[in-house]
Amino acid sequence: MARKIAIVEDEQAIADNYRDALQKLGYQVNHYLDRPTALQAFATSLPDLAIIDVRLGDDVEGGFELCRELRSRSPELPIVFLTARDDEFDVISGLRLGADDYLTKDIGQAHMLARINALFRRVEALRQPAREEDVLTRGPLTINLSRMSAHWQQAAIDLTVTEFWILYALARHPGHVKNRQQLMDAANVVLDDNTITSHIKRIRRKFHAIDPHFDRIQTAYGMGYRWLDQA
Amino acid sequence: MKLRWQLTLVSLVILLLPWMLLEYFKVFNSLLQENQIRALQDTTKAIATSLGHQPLPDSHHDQHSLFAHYLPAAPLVDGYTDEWRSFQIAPRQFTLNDEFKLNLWAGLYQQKLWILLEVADPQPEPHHPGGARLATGDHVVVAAGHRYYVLHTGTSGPTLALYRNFTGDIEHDYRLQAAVQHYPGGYRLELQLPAALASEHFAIAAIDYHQGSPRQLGTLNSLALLAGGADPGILPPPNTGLVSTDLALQQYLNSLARPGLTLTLVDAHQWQRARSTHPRLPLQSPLRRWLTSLGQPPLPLFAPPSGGRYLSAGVETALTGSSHRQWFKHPEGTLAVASVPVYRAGSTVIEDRLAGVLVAEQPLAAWGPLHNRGLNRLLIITAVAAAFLLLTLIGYASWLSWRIGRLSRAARRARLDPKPEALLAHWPHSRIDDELSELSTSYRDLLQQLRGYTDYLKSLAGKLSHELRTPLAVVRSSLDNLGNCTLNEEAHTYTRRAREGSARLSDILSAMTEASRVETSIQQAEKENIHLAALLQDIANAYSETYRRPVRLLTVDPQARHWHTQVAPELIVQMLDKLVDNAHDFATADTPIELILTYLPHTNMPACRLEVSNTGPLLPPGREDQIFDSLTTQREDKGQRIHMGLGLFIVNLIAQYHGGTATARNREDSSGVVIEIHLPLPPPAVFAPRR
Repeated sequence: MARKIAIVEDEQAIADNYRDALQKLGYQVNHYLDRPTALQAFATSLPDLAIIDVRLGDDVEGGFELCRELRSRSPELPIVFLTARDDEFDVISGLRLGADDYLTKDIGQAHMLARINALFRRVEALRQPAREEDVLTRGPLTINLSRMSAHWQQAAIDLTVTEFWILYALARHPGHVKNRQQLMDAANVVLDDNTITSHIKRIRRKFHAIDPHFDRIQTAYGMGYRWLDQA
Repeated sequence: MKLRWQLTLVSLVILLLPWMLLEYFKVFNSLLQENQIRALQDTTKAIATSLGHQPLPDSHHDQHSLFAHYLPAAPLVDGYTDEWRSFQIAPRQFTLNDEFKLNLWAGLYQQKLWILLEVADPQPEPHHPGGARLATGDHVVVAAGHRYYVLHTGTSGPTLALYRNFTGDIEHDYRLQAAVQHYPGGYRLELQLPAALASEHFAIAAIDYHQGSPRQLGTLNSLALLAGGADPGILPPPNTGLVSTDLALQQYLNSLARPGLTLTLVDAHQWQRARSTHPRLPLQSPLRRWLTSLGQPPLPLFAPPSGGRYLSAGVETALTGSSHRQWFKHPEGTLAVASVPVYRAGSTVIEDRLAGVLVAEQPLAAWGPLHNRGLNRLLIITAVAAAFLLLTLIGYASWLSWRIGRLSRAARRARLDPKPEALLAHWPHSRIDDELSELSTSYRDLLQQLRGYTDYLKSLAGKLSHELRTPLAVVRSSLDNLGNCTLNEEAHTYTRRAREGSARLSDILSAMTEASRVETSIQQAEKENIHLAALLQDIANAYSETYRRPVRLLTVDPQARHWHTQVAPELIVQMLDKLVDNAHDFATADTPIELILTYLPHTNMPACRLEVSNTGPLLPPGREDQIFDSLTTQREDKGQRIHMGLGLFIVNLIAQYHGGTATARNREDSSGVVIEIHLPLPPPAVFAPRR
């Protein structure tokens, strides 16, 4: 059975384009123009993945509301924010509400599809027992590639898809400096330098929440970042 | 020129006040003086009229007569001048030449006449007895009564008065007592005789034999030369006499004179016949003397009567029948002098009517009621008022210039301050509702408006990018979809170009929102303890690779490598990104970019100076400060890259976040530009030397 993707987007043309692309990949796509119609549809059946625009017509933060609604109904449902807004504040708000990723609308289709695939893979992996070969261990850090989950000192770290890919890219080759471009490629994003910095900062903060002495992600000024195997 | 000095100059105009006061004073002074002298003249006329009823002296003595002063005591007849000098009587002087001079004193005391002759005669000629001549050497001839007396003066000591009687025989007259005293350069003869003897006719002359021939000086006419010779027979008496003060008239004048007013009666031959006792003139202060002389033409010097004669133009005018008045300068002040003719009352003989001239002298009393103290007070008040006025004006000017200066400083700070809201809230304002406070308000409104526009421009970029991102997403997703379709070669080309175009559009959108994103990241920045020099070295190396040109770090202090400091490294790196990027864009090809780190330990708070220096075009003059402003760009090249004029604005934001400043200047040798960041390094973790 084809997976169901719900696009909640007030811009018909974008929604159409995404729908066409996703349908070509075999997904079943439903498009909703605003929050009430989307909520109405979700009341009968939840999609397998939701792509939500933050601003829905005149409803400036309609996307956030919708995300909150969906998350309360299904903790597992992958939710991706797709928005024209790229304020740091919006990003944080969106992620706090439990979105799996926060993308700006100028992201390439290929990158978006990679995310959607990854998210579906994760849902799949979560339903199956963990496999040894998917696990990468770096000292106290454990990364499950298929489930896209990371643990530090046995504690789960809640990462977005982008953050997970950045962390994985760093931890895969400890000591190697990954520059921003490499990290962007790994995370399937086209971002500016500042956004990578913000991502790194957020990743560190999430580790700090568990271990205040965490300092494995080191900045190589002017070059990039590296994972230190030894503290 | 500062406003304060301009106003100070302008306020010098108040110096016109004292000048006006002075002019007023001058006019007033002239008026008062004119009034005084007129009043004096009128008084003098009235006195002259009353004087006409008094018995007035005859004036048959001409100018050759001798004036005899009343002496306070009888001098000794000894030929010495001591007593005479103490009497302070001016002698009558006769001069032939330097070698022969005569000073003549005459005095009356208790019905006796005293005469003192001082003859300058360097070569005295003694008398040689024998022969028919009465005198063969230097001698003095005295004509008194009807006789001509000869007194030998050749030797010091008492001398006899010789005369020829009716028969021509030589006799002595012992009523005349005389003594001669020689001194180097001349001799003195002192003579005493009964006043009655001289009452009708009197004349005296000194005869000097010079190289054998006699010459004379004195009041006697040429008959004097005959008196000492062989018997000349009977000589006519001289028509000159003895003039002296009329005591009755003097008493009368004294009764009329009052303090400050001196009255003198002068006869037709300008002999002073009576003079009221000279009262002392009240002394005038030099300041007052100067003030009263203001606006007055220079005055002639007052000549006091001397030798019994009152010689003045005023008296001469009055003798012709008209009154005269004039101001004189006197060592003790200014003197008003009025001369009025005196006529005998009831005289029927026309020629005999004019008895003389009454002269009145009065010191200047125009400002009499105004005492010196009062005048000084007036002057002090004027000076204090002028000074007060001047100070008030200067103070007012200072206050105005301070207000304008405060406004101008606030405006400058507001222009440089990236967040001037607090400054605008505490904008200089005044409780006085004047044009300056209006200007201040307008200025604040203007700045607020400007700030509003800038904010709007900044937010416009953000809003615009948001708005543009949606259509751009339509374009990109459409292109992505198109890429999945089967396209011919030509369509592929156009798709590629469209894709490139949309990618550039996307870059532009990112650049437009960069400043606000940096501002957000500054708010979230965290400071860390790092090696600033090590960090700079790392990124300099990285830049060398990125830009493919040498980027060198020069640490001026070798110790710098061992110092730790607390900064937000991400921001420092971002700032350097912008600086080096900027330097790279402007730098001449293949020239290195230099980062120069200098530690500044001598200031209160340790600080460092980071200079980013590149060779290349210079800054446009006068715009060194503006290049750090938002949305300002000095770039003229049309490169491929997007420049929103935010790079150096971000640099400035980051420098200010660290409490520092960013400035730009041209290199001293004008070979390029240096952008200088001054970063204070807060104390706790500052440059703790690492062991």
